[in-house]
Amino acid sequence: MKKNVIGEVIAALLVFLFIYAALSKLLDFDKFRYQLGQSPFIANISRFIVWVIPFGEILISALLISRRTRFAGLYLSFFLMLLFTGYLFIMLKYSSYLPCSCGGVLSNMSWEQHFIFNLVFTGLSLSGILIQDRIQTKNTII
Amino acid sequence: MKKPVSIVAIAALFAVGTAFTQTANQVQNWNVDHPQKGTPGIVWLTADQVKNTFCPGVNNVECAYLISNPSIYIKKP
Repeated sequence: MKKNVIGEVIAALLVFLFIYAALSKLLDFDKFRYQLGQSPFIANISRFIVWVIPFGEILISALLISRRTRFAGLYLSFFLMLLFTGYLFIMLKYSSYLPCSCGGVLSNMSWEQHFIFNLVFTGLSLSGILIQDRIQTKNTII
Repeated sequence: MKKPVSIVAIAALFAVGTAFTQTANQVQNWNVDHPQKGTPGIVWLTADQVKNTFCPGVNNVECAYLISNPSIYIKKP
């Protein structure tokens, strides 16, 4: 029961983050597109990424909302957060300049704060996977 | 028995509301159509600030519009 609640809270936090981030990007799309085009590592594929990221975030949120597809949603959340964190790490370590292409209040964070924030959410999605796995195993045994 | 609403679905609704509210409260360039004496025609404020400062009261006549998207406007009495 307790694990169920923790699993729900983790899913709720991830859904809030992804929907908020996706809508902030889509509502200020021109700015997001411009900032992504400034990125030294992904400028060449920014035309593609500029659509994939917000709609990917919305898709993952939809998977997380339904209990039936939550496991897949948690795996995709973990993968996406890992990707974002890896990108931030590479930017911090190797980029000569740091353009921000984040949405909403997240753009007020420094790159270091953003990196820590992403690490926390990567950890949360991993915990969500482990909890969901235990819940599903328990339900299968019962 | 009625199924309780999942907190995950509630979080999704909150996220939508927060994103839209924040966008509405962004500082932007507005052209105040009928500036009061001594006020500039173009101001850099949030929609709420424009409404409260230049266009208070019921919404009858167009008072200010967003420069980047003139279809978005604020009305005054």
